[in-house]
Amino acid sequence: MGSPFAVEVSNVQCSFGGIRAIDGLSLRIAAGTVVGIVGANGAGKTTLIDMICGLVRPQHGTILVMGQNAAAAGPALRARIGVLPQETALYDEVSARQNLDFAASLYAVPRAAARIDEVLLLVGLLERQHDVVRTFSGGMQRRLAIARALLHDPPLLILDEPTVGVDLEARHQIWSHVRSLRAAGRTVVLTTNYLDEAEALCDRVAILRAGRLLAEDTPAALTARTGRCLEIECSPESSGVARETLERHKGVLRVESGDFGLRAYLGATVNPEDVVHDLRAVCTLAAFRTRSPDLAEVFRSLTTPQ
Amino acid sequence: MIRAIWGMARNDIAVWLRSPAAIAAALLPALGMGILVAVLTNSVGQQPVALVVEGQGRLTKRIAKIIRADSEAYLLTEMNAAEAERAIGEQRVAAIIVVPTDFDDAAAYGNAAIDLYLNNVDIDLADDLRRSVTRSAAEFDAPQLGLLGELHGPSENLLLPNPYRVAISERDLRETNVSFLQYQVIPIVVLIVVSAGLLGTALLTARDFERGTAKLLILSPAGHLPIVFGRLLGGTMITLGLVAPLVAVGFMARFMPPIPSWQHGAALAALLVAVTLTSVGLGALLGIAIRNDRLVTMAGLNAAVYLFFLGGGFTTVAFLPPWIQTASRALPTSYAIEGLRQALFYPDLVGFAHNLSAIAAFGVASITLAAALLARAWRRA
Repeated sequence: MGSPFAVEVSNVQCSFGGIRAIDGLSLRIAAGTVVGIVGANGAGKTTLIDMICGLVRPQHGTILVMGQNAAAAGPALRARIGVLPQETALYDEVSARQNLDFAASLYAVPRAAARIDEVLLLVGLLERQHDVVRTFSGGMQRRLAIARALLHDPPLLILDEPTVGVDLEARHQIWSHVRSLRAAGRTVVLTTNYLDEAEALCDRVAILRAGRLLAEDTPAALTARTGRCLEIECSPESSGVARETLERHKGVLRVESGDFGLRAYLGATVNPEDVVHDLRAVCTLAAFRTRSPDLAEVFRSLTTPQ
Repeated sequence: MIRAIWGMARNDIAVWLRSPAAIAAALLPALGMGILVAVLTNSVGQQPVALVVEGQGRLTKRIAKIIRADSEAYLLTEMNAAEAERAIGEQRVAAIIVVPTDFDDAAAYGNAAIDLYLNNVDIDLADDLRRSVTRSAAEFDAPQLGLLGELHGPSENLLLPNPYRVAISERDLRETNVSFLQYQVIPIVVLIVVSAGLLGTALLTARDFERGTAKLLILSPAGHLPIVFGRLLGGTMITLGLVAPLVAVGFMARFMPPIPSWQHGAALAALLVAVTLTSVGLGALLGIAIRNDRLVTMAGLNAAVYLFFLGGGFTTVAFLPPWIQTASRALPTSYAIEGLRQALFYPDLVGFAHNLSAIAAFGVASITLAAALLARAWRRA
């Protein structure tokens, strides 16, 4: 029986000139899951993707893709990977169908005409198949690029920022395609800057900063790791003393200022009512509420230096 | 593998056909150069001239007939003296040739003259007219020195009597003269092939880097070689597709002389293919070096024009200054132009093999280098 992991990245290091793009990164991606790689620009997302595709060789460490060394990826492995590059990479002078015809010839897709019909139908572009791509909106071009990545029916799909620059409706259409891919049992690795996207689509999320893996877990576990969020409304005069009180409290992991007042992230064992009680002893609170943090807050808590 | 090569070539052709601006950029400068050559050829060869025939005698009619017959030199309009004077004043004619009233009488005593009133503002044009009128005057006494001799060649090895002390025994390399326009059209054909091949392939290659499709190509399982050869095949088909109809029109319109034999036809085809391959290879190299649509267009056009004139686009390389001759030897266009002239203008193909070998060597070198660098550049895109 083969490895349960579609991708295994082990202690990989990669530098360009004097800049270390990936620094001792290890990550395993289980087959049949959707994994999001999030990080700010320059965090190393695209370099990691390029290494998984076999475009960039790591200077240290190994990357196995479906059991094969990605650095020595031959045609057989490349035929099992579908890639949606960040810039869509479509021939915009020709029609949608001509783009897919070309991809079919490169990937030696059997019964190409029927398969092209299938993927065009899947992404909702069958009726526009003969239109020149230049006339498509950004969202339609992304959907066509997804169709091209799916054309040869690959078990592993790599989507590099699939919704960047598209409108809200197109974004949700693309999300729906990704969900259908997961339902079909494909492994999807996607990079994104949108944390709500990672939260909505991904089984697991890997957070990168400066080429290092800061955390990798399910969105729920990452949220739990950050702790409950206590939002406090208070007057500007009271906020200074309130902040000092919160920062002194042993159960408070982190304190941030907001327009409304203060936001505190609490450890798992802390009772929010105890914190509020301590605050009321030193200042007046207009209101308070507790809630779970979202992935953006998790990301911020992990990537912002204390 | 064949499917990938053909897929790449077909895609390149489809992209090219949907790029009218690129087609125009490749063809218009070369066609413009062709029009320029045609206009210059016409203006250099023929000058507007007024002929004033004042006499009515037999010899007057004969000299007038000789002048009228020289349509290679004059764009002739017959006028009276007053009209001719107005025409030269208004610069509608460059010269007035007057056959005076007493021409017959003077000729009988061996001291006849025709008058030439010349607008000598341009020494080159003025000298052309002086030579033409001298030729007409010479033909009056020695027909073999006139236009007929130039057009139809001398009688082989037969020295006709003439009024001069030295006779001329001419032996031509060709049975018929090649017109100046036909001679000049050959480099234009080479310019069209080089422009289309170089610019077409350079643009396709540069655009792959600009829009990110280079990454897509290198990630495909087709392998590097089929994709690279597909690109080169696409460039070759695009170039030949553009050039073939233009060459056919050139033959039909007699801008190019008839092909002497099937061997000459085969030589012409082989040379055009070799020049195309060289241009396509150079285009791919240019596209790798300059990965920008606009910059590659400007650089490609400049490269094509320099290759054209340094390769002997305006005259035979052997007649140019030594430093240009040396530079020309390093350029594929000099061999292409010389080879095409061999294939179309000369009865045998002596020297053609040398030119074809040279251009083929340039082709192999540029294609091999382009193939090696394309895959490397795509991988690093």
